[in-house]
Amino acid sequence: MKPSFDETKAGVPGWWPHTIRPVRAAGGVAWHRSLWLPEGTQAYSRDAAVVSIEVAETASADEAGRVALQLANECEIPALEHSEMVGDRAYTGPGGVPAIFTRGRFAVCVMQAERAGVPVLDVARALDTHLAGLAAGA
Amino acid sequence: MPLQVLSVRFNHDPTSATTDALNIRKNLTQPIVLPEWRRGETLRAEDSRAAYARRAPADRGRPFTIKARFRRTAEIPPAVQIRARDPRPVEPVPTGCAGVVLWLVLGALTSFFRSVNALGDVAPRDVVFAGDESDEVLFELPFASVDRVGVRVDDISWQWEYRAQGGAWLPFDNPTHHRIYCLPDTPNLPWGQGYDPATPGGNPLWPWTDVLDHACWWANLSADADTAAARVTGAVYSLGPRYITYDCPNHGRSHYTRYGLGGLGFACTEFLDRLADGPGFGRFVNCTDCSAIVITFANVLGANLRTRRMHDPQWNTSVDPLDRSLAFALNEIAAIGTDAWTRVCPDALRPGGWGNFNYHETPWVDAGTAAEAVYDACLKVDGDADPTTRPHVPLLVTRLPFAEYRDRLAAPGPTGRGRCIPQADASDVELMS
Repeated sequence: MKPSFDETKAGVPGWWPHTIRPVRAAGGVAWHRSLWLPEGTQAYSRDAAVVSIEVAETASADEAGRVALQLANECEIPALEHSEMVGDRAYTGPGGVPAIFTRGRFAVCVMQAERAGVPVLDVARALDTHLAGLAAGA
Repeated sequence: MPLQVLSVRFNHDPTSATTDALNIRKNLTQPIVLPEWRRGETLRAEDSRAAYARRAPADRGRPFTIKARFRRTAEIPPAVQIRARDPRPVEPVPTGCAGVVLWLVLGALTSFFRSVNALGDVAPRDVVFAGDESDEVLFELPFASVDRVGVRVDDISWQWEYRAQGGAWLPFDNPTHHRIYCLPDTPNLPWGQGYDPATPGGNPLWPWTDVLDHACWWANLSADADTAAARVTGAVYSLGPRYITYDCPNHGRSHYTRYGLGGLGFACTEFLDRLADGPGFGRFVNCTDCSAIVITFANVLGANLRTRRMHDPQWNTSVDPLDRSLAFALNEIAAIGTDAWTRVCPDALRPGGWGNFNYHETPWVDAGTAAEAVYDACLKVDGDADPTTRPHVPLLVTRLPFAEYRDRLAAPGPTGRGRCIPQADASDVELMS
């Protein structure tokens, strides 16, 4: 399966992808991992607001649901709730952090990556809009 | 200069490490070029790296060996003897009891900081030149202490010398410099020694010197792999809060690991980036991340740890994450990167912490029964007689029997210790990147 998700084209207003790790396909799932900085912040800093985005590109919506469940169950602390604020199906923690959701055949986890708090849910919604476009065009 | 060293090869038999160095690489993308020392290319010790593991007793009868090549000029006869020695002057042993005692004490103290040449001197042997350059010549290292020294990383130097027809020993030009890693046992998964001559650049699972640089420093002078694993555990916990911290904002999610088809995948490259003050995959870790870190850095030194979860037997990854009924209740713990005793991740609504774990995961000595021992770099438990009440005595968990560990980690009763059950299957860690 040729991955269709591309971090450099996934417009998230106010953010840009600072670190993009290579896609690694395992078990038919293509994984994308990236760290995003606020626009206007050029250099990575441990004091900066940093968003971590993990996207799993699967073969079907059912498979995406299975992967999202796996992502959610990696949370050691039992804090997630069902959420209707983003995606086809979503699990979020208090304050929307982390935001784990599916959109079509994509399973996504958006997280805070450094000490500074970040608007995870806003980023997740922007990403969801982009993925909905990809899913509709597939 | 009439004689020159052209190359020194430490790993001259990639199919075995019983008399030579291990197969290693710098990291996932960069191999160690052989021979390790090459004239004009490898100027510093860190440019010429080799690693040795303590051998099984049956293999210790044969000396370690290296191979070297040389170039001569016209005035050198075609047959000479060649050797190499540590160029540092030999310190005389003082006379008198007080002097000897002081010498021994100072020697023990300085061994922490001063490099030790665990390969010893290179024994002399005859070298015959057919032309200006020799073939690779095998030299024995009869005084190597690799089988005894435990964990070390040292920059060593050899001053090469020659003599012709029984004359005096004369020095080559400059000494050669090398970085030597000594391991108390052969590396275990995720590391391997598998060799396939058809694979250019070698096996990505050969131990990385980027990992050995940290692991050997963390476990410096450990006499055996168990001690090394304990020191690695303590060093990883001490990475908090500067490098990594328990993931309270995302409620304990994995950042550097992912379960895949063959085991627990570990993003080693990104973790090394984090240790080098890069972004890595961010600040936060959970128990699974910490378990993979300890296993990767301890097993490269010869420990044999596997990762294993503990949770309610009814909980599994297909359970709806909304279902909290199977989480197990905690005693107060000190999670990595925090300086407070809480029931994990306090916030404004829960000043005492969330109180429960869905699961927890640690390095285990081996797969098997609940009587086996665990390490844990993710948190410290209360080490006093009553772990359920303050004050707490911080206890780093290193090779602690599981039953004791569980009683210190989980709250008493059926919703605590009663749900904190080690799962049957342990997993190997594999390198994901």
